Formats: sequence, C-alpha cells, structure tokens
Amino acid sequence: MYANETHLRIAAVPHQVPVACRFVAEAAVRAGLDEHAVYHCQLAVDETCTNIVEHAYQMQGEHQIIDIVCQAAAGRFTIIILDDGPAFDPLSRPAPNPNAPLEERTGGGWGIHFIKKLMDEVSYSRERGRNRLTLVKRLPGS
Amino acid sequence: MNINVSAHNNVTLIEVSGRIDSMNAHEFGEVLLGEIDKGHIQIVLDLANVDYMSSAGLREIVSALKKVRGSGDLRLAQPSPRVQEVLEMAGLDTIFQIYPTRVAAVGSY
Repeated sequence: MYANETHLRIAAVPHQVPVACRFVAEAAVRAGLDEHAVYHCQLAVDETCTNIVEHAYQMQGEHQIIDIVCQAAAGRFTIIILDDGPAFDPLSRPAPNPNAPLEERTGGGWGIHFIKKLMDEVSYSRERGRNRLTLVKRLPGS
Repeated sequence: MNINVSAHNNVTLIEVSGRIDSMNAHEFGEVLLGEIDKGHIQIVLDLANVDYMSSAGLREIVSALKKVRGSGDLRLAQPSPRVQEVLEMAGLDTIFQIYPTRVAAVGSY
C-alpha cells in the first residue's frame, strides 16, 4: 500500500454511488488536482459505479460490494474500481456516435464515452475473479 | 436537486438547480415528461444553476426532446460550463437549440 493511498468499500446500490464520488473528490483535492479535474474524477467514478450497480449487479447488489482505491504517486492520481460482477470490459464496447441525429439516439453507452474523454488514461483488467477499472489523471506540473 | 416550473404565455419554463445524477435523474425525467403529457410542448429548460450532470441526466433530456420535437420543442437556456461540457462530449450541443439567456430562450418561440 502506498503512503498516499486510501480505500473505500461500498454496497453496490444507487444511494452509495454519491458516497464514492465524495470519497474520490476528497482524495483528488488532497492530491492537488484543480477543481475542474476533481469534477472530472467525480463524474468518471459516478458513471463507472452506476454502470456496475445497474448492469453488473442488475440493481440487486445490496449484498455485493464495490471497492475504490485512490493513489497519488509519481505525478499521477489513480482511481481503481473493483467489482465482483461477471467479467466485463466496458472499454471493449463500441463508442456511441456524438454525431448521430436525434432519431438514432438510444440514450445508452455515454458513461463509458465520458470516462474515456474525462480521464488521461483508462484501462481494464480481470484479476482474481474481479473486474478492475483503472482511471488516471495526471497531476499538475507532471 | 430543485425544480421549479412556471408558465410564460405559451412557454413552460423549467428551472433546475443542483446535481442531476443517476440517483435523481428519473425524478427529473418524470417532471419533463409530466409537462409534455399535460400538453406543454414549448419548453425552456434553464440549466444555469446545475453544477453537475451525469449521462443519466442527459438521457432524460434526450428522451424528452424525442417525445416533443415535431409538435413542439425543448430548448436549453444558459447551461453552466459543466453542463455545456457534457452536452458537447455527447454531441448534444448541435441537437438542442441553446440560448445564452432565459429571456432569449423563452422569446424564441
């Protein structure tokens, strides 16, 4: 565990998602990110956790968990989000088309698109039976 | 999140403040669709005081626009910089008519 590392475990239910957002925002502020970057981290965590609650656990995750780890090291603020849902790489999904006309829009898929746009690096792995999504924001001056 | 609905001649003004996220987006959508169901199809959505909107919120305004466009419209007024950013990421800044002030948006009908 890094010196600048914090952990949070939440139940995989909708009302816990804002708790995860606040936890990450506080860690991002401590790491030295500016207000806009902190907002991006919150939004990325909101979208990630919402996808896990709604899709991985099908809104029945009251006995399931999501783990969130924040690390600040080597000029990078890293957020790791782990869940125990079925193996699913959200980054493999086709990106929605921002140029699609209104009638072709179905409403889904934008969360992952936002995460990719808002963070400097995003990666997925399946480790020890868990989904692991890693989100990185570079710290100012790095 | 707070929502205030008011009538200005034939235009319905919906002012929202606070956060629109996955927790309350459905409630927000219910207000939009409730107005449309009442026949209020010329709508201005004032987003000046929305400081956070996730994709769940965008899904609701797109759904409302799809329901109303053709017979009426849903137009946006003075989105905050954070809302403007997510509108642009989703390419919605070219789909919605967006006005710099509430007066301009209401007067556009």
